[in-house]
Amino acid sequence: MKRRLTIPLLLAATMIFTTTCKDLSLDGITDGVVLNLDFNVFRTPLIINFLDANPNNTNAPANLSVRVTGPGANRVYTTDGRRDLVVQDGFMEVSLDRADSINADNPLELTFIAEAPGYLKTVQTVVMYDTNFQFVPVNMVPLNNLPSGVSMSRGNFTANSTTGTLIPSAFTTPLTGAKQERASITVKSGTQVRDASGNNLNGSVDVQLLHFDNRSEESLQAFPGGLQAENVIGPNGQAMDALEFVTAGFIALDMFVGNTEVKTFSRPVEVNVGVNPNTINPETGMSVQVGDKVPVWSLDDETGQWTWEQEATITRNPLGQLEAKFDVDHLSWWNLDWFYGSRCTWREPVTLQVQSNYEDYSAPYAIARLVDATTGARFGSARYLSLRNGSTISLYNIPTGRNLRVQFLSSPSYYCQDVIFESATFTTTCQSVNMIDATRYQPRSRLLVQAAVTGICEREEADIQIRPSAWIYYREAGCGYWNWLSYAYSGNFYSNRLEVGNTYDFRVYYGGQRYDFNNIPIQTTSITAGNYMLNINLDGDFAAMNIENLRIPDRYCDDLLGG
Amino acid sequence: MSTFPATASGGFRYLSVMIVVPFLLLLSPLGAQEVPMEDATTPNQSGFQPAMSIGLNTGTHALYGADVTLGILKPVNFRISYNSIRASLSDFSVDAGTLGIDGQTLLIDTDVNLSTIGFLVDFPFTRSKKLRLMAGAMFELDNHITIAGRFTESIFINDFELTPERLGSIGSTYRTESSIYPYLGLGFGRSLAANKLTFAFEAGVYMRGKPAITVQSDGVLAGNEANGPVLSNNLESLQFHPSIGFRLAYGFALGSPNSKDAMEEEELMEPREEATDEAPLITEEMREAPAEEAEKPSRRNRKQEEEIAETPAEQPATPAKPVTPYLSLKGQVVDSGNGNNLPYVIIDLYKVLPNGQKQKALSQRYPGGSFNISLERGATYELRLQHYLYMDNVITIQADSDPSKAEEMRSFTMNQQ
Repeated sequence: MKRRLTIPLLLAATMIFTTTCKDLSLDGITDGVVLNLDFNVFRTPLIINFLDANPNNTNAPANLSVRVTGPGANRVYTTDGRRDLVVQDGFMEVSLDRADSINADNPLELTFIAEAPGYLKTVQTVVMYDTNFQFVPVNMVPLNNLPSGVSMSRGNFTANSTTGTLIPSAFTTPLTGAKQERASITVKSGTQVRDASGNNLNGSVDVQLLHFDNRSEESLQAFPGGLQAENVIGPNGQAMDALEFVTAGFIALDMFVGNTEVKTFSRPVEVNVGVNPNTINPETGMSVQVGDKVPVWSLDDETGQWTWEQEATITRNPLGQLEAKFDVDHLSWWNLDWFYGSRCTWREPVTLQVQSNYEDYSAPYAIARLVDATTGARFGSARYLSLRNGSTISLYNIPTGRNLRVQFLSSPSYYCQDVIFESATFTTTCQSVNMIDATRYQPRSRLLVQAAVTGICEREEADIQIRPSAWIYYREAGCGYWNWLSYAYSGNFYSNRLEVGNTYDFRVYYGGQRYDFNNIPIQTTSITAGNYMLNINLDGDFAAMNIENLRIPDRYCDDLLGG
Repeated sequence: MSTFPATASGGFRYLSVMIVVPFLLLLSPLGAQEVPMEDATTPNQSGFQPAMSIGLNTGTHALYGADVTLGILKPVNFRISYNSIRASLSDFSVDAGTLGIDGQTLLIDTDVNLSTIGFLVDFPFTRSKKLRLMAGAMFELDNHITIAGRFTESIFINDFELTPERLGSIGSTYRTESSIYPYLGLGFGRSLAANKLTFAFEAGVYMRGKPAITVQSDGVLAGNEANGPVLSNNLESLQFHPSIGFRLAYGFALGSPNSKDAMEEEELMEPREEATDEAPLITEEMREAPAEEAEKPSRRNRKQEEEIAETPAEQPATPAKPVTPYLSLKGQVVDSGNGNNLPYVIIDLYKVLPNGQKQKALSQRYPGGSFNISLERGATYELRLQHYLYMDNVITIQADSDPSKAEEMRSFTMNQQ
């Protein structure tokens, strides 16, 4: 009997001993366990990139301040949940609660008013009807280093609050560089200048007049407010749908008495804007002619509101040059723009559908923009378009009956981009679906990079791993501008824009902090830096990139986890 | 274990046999009823009677449980049990600071289900039957331990409020890779006793196997599934579930009232060797025999008697008041060469019927060569003594019919081969 009992008892003892001799302390049980927190509660569908309009300066305007107004202002956050949006290195990432949907019935309308010392104030309105990513460059004009196509005149005159100006004062922009058109204003004698409250101002009136021609792409890129007018009041005082302007020129006129801005005049000020004779009048389809009428729009630099003011008639001056003359009784920025009257509203968008050979997640994204098939004129800003077969993108407020093409660009930066693909022409018809045959498209790089980013909050109790959702920026070889590469969603992203063997700089803004990953070669490599570890494993046309232990700022960890 | 020589060495195969047998029994409304009626209503030739007990149990294997134990195959009992461990807890408050999330409180919900259906074989291995070896398997019934936590307060990411609903929850679920848990244990106390309440203490362990822990999470806490395998690995050693419990049961004899009597008889004859438990040597024929016949003077086969009486018993039989119509034959088998007791002897006992046919009444192994068997007074038996080192010794015995004689002691020898 003893023998009978011995074996089972030994077996039972072994089992219990084996069970209890393991490390079953809390530390032992949780060894290797990492608590992941996925703070992917925001979507960041919009980045505004404030740039110096002069391509000789790749740095963002210094000491830039941006105010965000508009009906959607109370819906947006920084990527780390702050109400006051901030600009970092010229990038303003606009986030909103992922639960806050953006759609045609609930668009997101924001107006960005940007000011920086030494730069012309600018205003940009963006309306989003869906959550498709938009990257909106805003080129700010440096007053001491004007981009081509832009000229400036500065001066002053004296105004008496009672009698007004004693003598007429005229200011004319110079012809510098390749510039061929001027703009001028004339303040008639006896004109009283008034502030926003209608009070007459007394003293020296500082005048700043800038003219933007339509010849230079740099000038067009720097048009304050852009050429897409979202917030428009038409000739009858009624709100209009968004417009796509075809410009004949733009002037930015500002006057100050001391620090007080002049807003109105007692007598109209005469404005004279030279017109490029090669300008195509979209209403006639021909070069602008004497006698053509061009609408004059004012832009409120505080609200981004475009208002139809009047029509100017094209005349020829004694020098044989075309010009548009009009009188203004208030100060604003003035744009001579035709517009496409018949548009597909946001309720009946034009849809583009991609035909491609990409059937899965590895499909590259294209930087796409619309151009007029005839004139090559751009329509709106570039969009981010998935080339996965069947993917779609909706275009709102597009003029109807226009022959357009889709161009794929090599870079989102105007200054570094090439057109690497152009679609066949399609005609815009409201509520239509237009197939974009991209089967011939070959991305410059065949490399698919699959990246994973994890950050860490170092805590006394336990390390907490964070999988950040953030935009990844990169700087291409040969391009001094930072561009957006991809969006890391819960720490993961793909990219088809990196090329094997090239070296890139990468940048991420997260938790209010900037992370730079400089001189990263696209090859199998392992890099350990102060606040991250980066590994790239290159395998043919595929590269796995892992960025680990990204040190999340203590402050943000405290925000997330409690301090 | 000697009754399972063919399967005892098979490890899990052995266990699987034990699993299958009770399961088959479970499929029949009453396993014992499949025995032919004459077997169910009359003692079989070995005198064994089917019996069952219904028990309630509690312990670390079951907050509460119920079982049916069947004694239908000598010498083991089969138990089918339902063992329930179900518990749940909601909104248990825990400081999340231990997880590195300061200023937050976690509400913990748990749900535990460790219920099983057990199929056990119960083998009493002592004379009193009060010490039992138990083996078998537990079939899990959706066994799991789930723990889930959720935050109670909002988290503010600067100006953005993350409500508890948005924060989500995290939980883990323990399951096992296997759904069958082999069991091994010891029982202290009888599992079958007719018309009696019995109390038993049972201790053992069942092998739940490797934990398979999964992590479920959503909201901000989403994406923690990868911790499941890590926890499974860290808790890999937790494969055994200690089982310590108590059982209260009431026993019934299955079949005719005689079988109940047989169980009582069995209990009355304690303590004795297992063989005597099995061999009351009662038949209906015996019971219905006229008393006078039982009291007839026995006829002895003198020749055989001489063979049997090779070594007269040294101690005279103690006169005892006959309490049964049976005679207890106590014997000791020794080596004829050295007089030492045999380490064991296997005895086959046949009753010689009046028509000369032999009816097997007993087959049993007796350690130490000593035995105690019951004989019907006046009946003739053939006793076959066997040991593999010795030559078989076959003896014919005429049971003394003297009702005043309760027992008879004899010594037997065997010659080495």
